[in-house]
Amino acid sequence: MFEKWLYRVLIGLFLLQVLLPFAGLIQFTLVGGSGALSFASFATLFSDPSFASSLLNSLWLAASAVLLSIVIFTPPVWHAYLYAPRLLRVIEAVSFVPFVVPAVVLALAYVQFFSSGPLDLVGTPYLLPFAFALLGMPFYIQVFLNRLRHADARAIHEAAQTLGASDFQAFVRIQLPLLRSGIINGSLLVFTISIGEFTITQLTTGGSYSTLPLYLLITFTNNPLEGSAMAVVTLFLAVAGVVAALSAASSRRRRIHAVTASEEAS
Amino acid sequence: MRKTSLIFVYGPLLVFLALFALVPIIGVISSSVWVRGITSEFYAQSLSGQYLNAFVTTIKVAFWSGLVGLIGGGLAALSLWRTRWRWLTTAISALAGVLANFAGLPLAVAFMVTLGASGLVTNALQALLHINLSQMGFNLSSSGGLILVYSAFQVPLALLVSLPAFSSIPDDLEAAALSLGCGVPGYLWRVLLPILAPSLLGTFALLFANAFSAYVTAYAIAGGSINLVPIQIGYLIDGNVSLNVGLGNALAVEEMVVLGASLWVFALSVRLRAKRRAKVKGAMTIV
Repeated sequence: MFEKWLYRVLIGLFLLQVLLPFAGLIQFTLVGGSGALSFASFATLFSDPSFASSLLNSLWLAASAVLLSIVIFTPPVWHAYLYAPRLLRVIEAVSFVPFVVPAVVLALAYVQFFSSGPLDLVGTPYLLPFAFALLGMPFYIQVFLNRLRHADARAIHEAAQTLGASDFQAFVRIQLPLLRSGIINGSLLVFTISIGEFTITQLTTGGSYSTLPLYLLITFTNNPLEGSAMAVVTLFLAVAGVVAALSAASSRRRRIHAVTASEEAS
Repeated sequence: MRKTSLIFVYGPLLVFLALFALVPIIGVISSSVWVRGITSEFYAQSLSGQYLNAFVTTIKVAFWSGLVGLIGGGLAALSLWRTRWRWLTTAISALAGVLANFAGLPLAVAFMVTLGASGLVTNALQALLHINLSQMGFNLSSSGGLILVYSAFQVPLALLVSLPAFSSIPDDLEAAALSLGCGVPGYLWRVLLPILAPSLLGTFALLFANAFSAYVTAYAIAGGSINLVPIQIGYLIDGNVSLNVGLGNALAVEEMVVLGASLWVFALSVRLRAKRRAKVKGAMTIV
């Protein structure tokens, strides 16, 4: 009995510890200004034209990073999974590069490498989608591989080939629809990472290109209330991305369960 | 598949990795030891004075926030595992997954408005209990303050990473231990802890690396008032790059060595856990 209550208390303490700062943030945004409940901070934020433009910049960068991830990572991971398991292990290992090379080191490397010659990209936003795709690479590849392993992609591909499809035809018309949920979930993670990225954006553009996180810090320094409203919005965007990825994964699993259950029943 | 089509499959990835990871990173490493000849002056510089202090502070923050994270997250994972509430475990892992990734600006802002100089909790403590946090020596932008802030993402990360280790423990292990006359505390302390030790060590290594490389949170909260390695690298970029590129590169290489070593320990612990699990299963079948 004592043990059970101890565990409950521990779980409660955990929730308190991780949720308290966010409760504080939301309370400050809603009642911090006047002491009475008010949505004025959000009204200020949404009527701020710089907020709209930085949101647009962030969305554009995140969408480009997602597109790059899909185009660059999907075909080789799929091909290596089917035909070259040893190569797949190499790709997986390399995909963890961002864990050993943190954003600040990448930024340092980029400002030196992309500062001259044909790839003079420092100070422009064109470097960023590639950097974000690199940061999202381990997540995209893990999620996509997960889907590959669950979908029995190999057997289905062999069946398509037996029926006379070429590799390319089978990849585009059979495998891509089959692996769609993996691609979508991976994309959502890359999107979430891109929306929140601060370090590389600030250090390679020198703050000249305003994205959501960059504008958030400036706003918070000038007007804490509007800044924290923006933190709430950013948080909401990120939570929406992760929740969408999770629920897509679980509904997919439920559907598969339903299908196998009905097959077993019949 | 024909060789030409293989180029279309693997080519983009190779070019991408070469341009945006391999070549720039090799550039950093090579120019940290090379200016018109091999030199070690940047490393000497990076391991003395304020830069050495930066390493000491960063290691301190990473160590303590890692330890707090490991204990907090480990206890939460243990509780979830022991209560066997499936839905709660699922809900909390999802929550932890979201929170572990908030080591960014929203988290920094959340702490500043809650515990900053005129934060809500700070003011409430002052008004209700007449406790003045700053007079007690608490400062969000000190290393102690940062350890507290980092715990907000270290604890959920530890929970996420250690939960699979707990659920890989076979249920009959407890029954076996109890039937041999070992109480629940003894089971947790003398049976479970040794089995989980490699996983916990690996989790700690991951948390250490995570805090060691954190930049945004510290930058937003403390700016220039805390001396951390990532902050120093950021300053060297932000200032004048031509001023001392070599020093920044040496710091970056040292940072990568620390992270690489920590993550190597993590990978090792994952492999060890798999082996250990096989052994425990074997022992259980003999019993």
